[in-house]
Amino acid sequence: MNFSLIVESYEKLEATSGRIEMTELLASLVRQTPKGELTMLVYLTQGKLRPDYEGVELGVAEKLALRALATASGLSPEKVRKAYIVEGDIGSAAQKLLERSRQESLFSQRLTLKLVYDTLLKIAKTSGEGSIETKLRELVKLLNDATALEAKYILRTAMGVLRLGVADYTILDASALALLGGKSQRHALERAYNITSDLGYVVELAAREGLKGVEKVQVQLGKPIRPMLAERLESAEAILDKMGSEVAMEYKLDGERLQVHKRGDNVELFSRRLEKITHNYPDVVQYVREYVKATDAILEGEVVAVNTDTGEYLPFQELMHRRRKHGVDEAMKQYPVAVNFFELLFIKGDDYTNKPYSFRRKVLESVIGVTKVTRPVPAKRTRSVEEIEEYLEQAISEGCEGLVVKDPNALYRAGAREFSWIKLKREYRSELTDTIDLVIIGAFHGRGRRAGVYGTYLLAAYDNKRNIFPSVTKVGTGFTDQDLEKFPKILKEFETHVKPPNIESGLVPDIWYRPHMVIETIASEITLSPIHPAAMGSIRKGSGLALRFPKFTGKIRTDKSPEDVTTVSELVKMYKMQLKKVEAK
Amino acid sequence: MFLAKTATNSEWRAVASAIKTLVEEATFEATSENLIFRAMDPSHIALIDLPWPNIAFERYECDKPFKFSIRVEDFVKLIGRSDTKDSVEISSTEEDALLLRLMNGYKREFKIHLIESTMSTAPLPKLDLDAKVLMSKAVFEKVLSDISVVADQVSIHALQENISFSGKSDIGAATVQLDKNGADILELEVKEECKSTYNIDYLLGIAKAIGSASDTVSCEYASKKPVLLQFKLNEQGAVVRYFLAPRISE
Repeated sequence: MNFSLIVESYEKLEATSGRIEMTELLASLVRQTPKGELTMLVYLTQGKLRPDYEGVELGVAEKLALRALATASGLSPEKVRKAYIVEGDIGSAAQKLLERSRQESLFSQRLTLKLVYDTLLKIAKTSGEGSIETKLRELVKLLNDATALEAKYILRTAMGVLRLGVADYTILDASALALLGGKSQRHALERAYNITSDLGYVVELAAREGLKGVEKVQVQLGKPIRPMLAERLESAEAILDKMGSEVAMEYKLDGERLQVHKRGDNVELFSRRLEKITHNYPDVVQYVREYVKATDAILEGEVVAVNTDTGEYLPFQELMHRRRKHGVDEAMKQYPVAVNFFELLFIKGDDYTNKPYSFRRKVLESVIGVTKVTRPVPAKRTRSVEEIEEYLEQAISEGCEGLVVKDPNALYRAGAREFSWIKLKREYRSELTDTIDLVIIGAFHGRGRRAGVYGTYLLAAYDNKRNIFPSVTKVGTGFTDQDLEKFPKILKEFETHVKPPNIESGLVPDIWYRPHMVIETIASEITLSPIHPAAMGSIRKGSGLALRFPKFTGKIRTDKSPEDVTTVSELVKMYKMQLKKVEAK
Repeated sequence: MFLAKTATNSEWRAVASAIKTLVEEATFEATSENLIFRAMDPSHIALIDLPWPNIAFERYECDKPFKFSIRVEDFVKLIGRSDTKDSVEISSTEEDALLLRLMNGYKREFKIHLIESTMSTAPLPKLDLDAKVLMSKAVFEKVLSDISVVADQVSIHALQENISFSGKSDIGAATVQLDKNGADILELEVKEECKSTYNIDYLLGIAKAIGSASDTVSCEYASKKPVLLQFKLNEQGAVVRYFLAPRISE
């Protein structure tokens, strides 16, 4: 399939904001794509190369993209840089420049979807010494053969700023329409996606095997299941009101959520955001081999740092020492961990996501050996508000964050956030609000003692309906000197002098960052703000939501992706809850 | 058995450094008639072609086709050890290695291990070129260096009577004109007036890599088509051919 066909569709998609129209454009593109190339089309349209759990990073930094564009256009690096800053987007800059001036290649060929995809994948997978030069040459080769319009999308994709405004569910709708005869079949596709986390695979399966093939998709060892998420409520009464008579309570530990795939002695671990993190926890792999009494199983558990002298669980920050590439063995000795298993999703060939919680829990208890380092997470049934409150106090005194309350009859709804799981944390009961996870999108130069470093960071929430990160606050307190030194290093590769297209803010920081690094903050309250665009207009016309007296808690949430940060609609909910409290006084 | 010997080191020196401007790994193919090397840079802008007939060597033996790949950097370093008056002999060994003998009164012997290469031989661009100029290589380098002061690309404009090289940028402009009858132009044949633009870094890079191994350069091109540079390394047919794709501007 010629790549030109795809970019023509992308042009139309970009000019469209209506969902129905977008779905139809995309459906027509899906229809034109040969079956064997649908996975590539889907990943590229998502702005990715592989499903998230494979951890393939696109790997082209701003500097490299600009160099490639300079070579391909035959223009000086300064000219290219200027055009980039004026246009504010690598894609538009490339299109403008290449329409005017370009380096020909000796054997030009028309770009195909496969050639573009394979080259981008090669660039992403190149690492080690000399890799920058190799990446540059491959990218230039593509650009030399690309039309100006093709170059626009190639560079945006390579830099990870494609942003067609196409959400996963639009791709699901379009595929259902194109391949299964109607949008009403989307639920089957969605289910298949939620249990395999691989949209490309699901769409190609629909093309090859139709609805029956998609319906037959089972939970598979090795493909992570998109995690079920909990809603939040502020009191035990509210939870019982919502959930009905009897509920199951589980400790909510302050650790990292893991999805464990066990096939015999072969164990894989996935993070909450479905990255493979097996290599970070060789000890957990060993515990699973020894203490999980099942040959094949998919489990969920919370791994926590533990003080082996006292058996006490340690705070989340201690655990984060384990998320490193090198020196894993050393970190393993220094920061030992324990695992509390809380879900069983698959065992001996049976998909348990379609079984009720009470059943899953019963089998889970029979499978997990209770040892110093493994156990089923403490859980208890109740019908009373008092017992929930008591159990919450108990959990907190044992170092937990709070409770997760589950509906005993609920199935495991992969990828969904529903009221059949509800978080309860103590913060709600005190005057403090819950912590809020936000992503760093910019920084301001510091003054005084902080001169020479960035002293204040601009933070954004996530607007999942529009796939935009609107700013909600600036934060400058809670940072140690170490933090201030460390942050710019972590953020270095995400620096950009141009506001990334998926960010909105009324403020202009000294440097922008593409959304990557997530930190936990706490604030005294949520207020209306004319400067920050989060939830603009949803409470009052012309006002967004912002945080008042924000503070960094010290936690860098490496386990969360930018899309996992507090959403705009959660902020709206929190804002409304908070208002209720004030009125009650 | 493959063996190729040259009386001096200059051909190999030029070849090794020329290849180094384009690729990191080089694959040679030897037959009883000739030794061929051909490679393109990964972005497909430039191509080197070495079609060396067996008579280009002082001694040449190849009883069956032999293909070998080497890491260019290693090769450049080893050749760099040779002196001007050394004869250079390259031969195959039983193991997967290449033997390099440098001889000038006494004998030095180096062995380089071959590498596996997946590179396929590049095709040659088909060209129908309208203008050809043969000139002193020193002048060619000087002209390009002049233009490079203001620009990173050079436009070559060939007429019946003269050929001019020019470049411009925000800094300013430069033009060098050479007349057909001038001392620096050995030949100028123009079928049709033509003008085309090329990257100076590539042109200067190859000219410098050839160094003193060749006194002249032949330059053939057509409007908005690739340019072909040829550097003659000896009278027996050892030549480096270099193709470069044009730049197109509004």
